[in-house]
Amino acid sequence: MIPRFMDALIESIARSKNDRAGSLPVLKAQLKLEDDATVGATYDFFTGKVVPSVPTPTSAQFADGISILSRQNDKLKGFDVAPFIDTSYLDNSLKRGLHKSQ
Amino acid sequence: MGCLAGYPELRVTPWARAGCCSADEKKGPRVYSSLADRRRFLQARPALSAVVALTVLLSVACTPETAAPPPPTQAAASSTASPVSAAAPATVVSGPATKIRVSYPEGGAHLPLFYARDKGIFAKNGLDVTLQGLGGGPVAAAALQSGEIQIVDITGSEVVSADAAGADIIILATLTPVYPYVFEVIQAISSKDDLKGKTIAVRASGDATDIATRVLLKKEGLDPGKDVTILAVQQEGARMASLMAGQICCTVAQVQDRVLLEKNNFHMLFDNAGHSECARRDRDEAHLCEGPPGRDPALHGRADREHRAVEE
Repeated sequence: MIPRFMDALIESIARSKNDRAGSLPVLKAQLKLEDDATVGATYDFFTGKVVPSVPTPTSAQFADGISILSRQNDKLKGFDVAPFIDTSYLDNSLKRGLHKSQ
Repeated sequence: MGCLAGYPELRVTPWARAGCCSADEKKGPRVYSSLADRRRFLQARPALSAVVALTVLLSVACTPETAAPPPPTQAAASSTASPVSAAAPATVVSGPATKIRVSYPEGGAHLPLFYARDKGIFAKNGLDVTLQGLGGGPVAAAALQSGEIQIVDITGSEVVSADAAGADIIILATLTPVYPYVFEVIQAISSKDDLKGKTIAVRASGDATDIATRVLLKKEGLDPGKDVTILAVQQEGARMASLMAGQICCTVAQVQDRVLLEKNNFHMLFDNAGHSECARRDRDEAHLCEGPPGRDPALHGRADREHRAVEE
C-alpha cells in the first residue's frame, strides 16, 4: 500500500504543479474559498514556494522543532529523528520518473 | 507503534496486543539490526499502513487492508484527469482497491492529496482513499496510533514528539519543507523593533504556527521569551477573530488568510517562506521549489525579491 500511495502522491504533486486550471477548482473546494483571486494566489504561493517537486524528508527539517520543543520536553533533548525517516519509497517513485509526470 | 516496535525505546501498545498482529508479533518488541532490516519487515507486510507528515509522514499501524469497490475504469478516470502521465507508468494494479483513510490539516500545501483523489490518481494506483480533516496536531497523531487512519499529513513537531515518546511514526515525505506563512501585522508596526512588547498570536503551543513564529523572531534578532509575548489561542478561528477585533497585533498567516487580513488593514512584515529552505537552496536545486509561470507579482512582491536576491 505504501509504494502505491507514494506513487500517487509524487505523480499528483507533479501534475498539480503543471495543471493550474485543473487545480484551482480542487483547491477552491478543499479550502472552501469563494474568491477566485484568493484561490489563485493561494495556488501560486503553495505550488511556487512551498511544495517541492521532490518532497525528500531530511533531519534538518525537524531541527527547529526539536530545538524549540526540547526546552519543554526532556525526551526531545538530543533526539535523533534520522531513524524514523525512510526515503526508500520516495526513491522508488523517483526512479520511475513519476515526479516528471505531466 | 505496536507491531513495529523495532527500536529499543519503543513499546508494544495495548492496541497491538489486542489482535492487530500475528501471534509472533504479539510476543513483544521486535528488534531490527538496521533500518534496512526494518524496511524489509515493512515491505513484507502488505497490511501495514503508513503515514505521510506536514511534512508527509508515514506511520505504521497494523490495520488490515479493506477491500473497496474496484477503481474506476480507465475511461472513467481519464474523463476527469489531466493529460496522461508522461512518466513511466506506475505499477499495474489489479483487483479491488485498497481502502485507506488519510488525514490532512488545513492549507494549500495539501492540494496534492485532493488532486490525487479528484483526478483519479489514487484510483489508478489501486487505492480508495478517504481524506479526513483532522488537523496537523495531536488529534491526527492519536487517530494514527489508534489505527483509525493509516496515513497522516501532520506537523513535523507532532511526529518527533510522538516518536520521542515511544511511537514509531515513519516519515515518508515532506510536503512543506518551509514555513508556509507570512507574518502579518497592524499598520502601526513597520519594523521588527516595533514588535517589542507586543503580543503575537499562534494557534497552539508547539504547533507549526508557534515554531514558525519563534524561528522567524530569532532570525530577526528578537527573543521570543523577552521581546514579545506569544499567545496560543488554541483555535484557528479564535486566532483570526482576535486579530480582526484588534485584540492582537500580529500573527503568522497562510496566504488565503493574508488576503482577508490585508483587506482589514494588516500588512506583511516578513515572509516566512522567504526565510525558507527553498529560498536558501543552491541555484542547482532551486528548480525543486519552482512553480508554474504566471504568478502574480503583486501578491508576492517582497517575497519574490528576496527569493531572487538569494538566488543571485
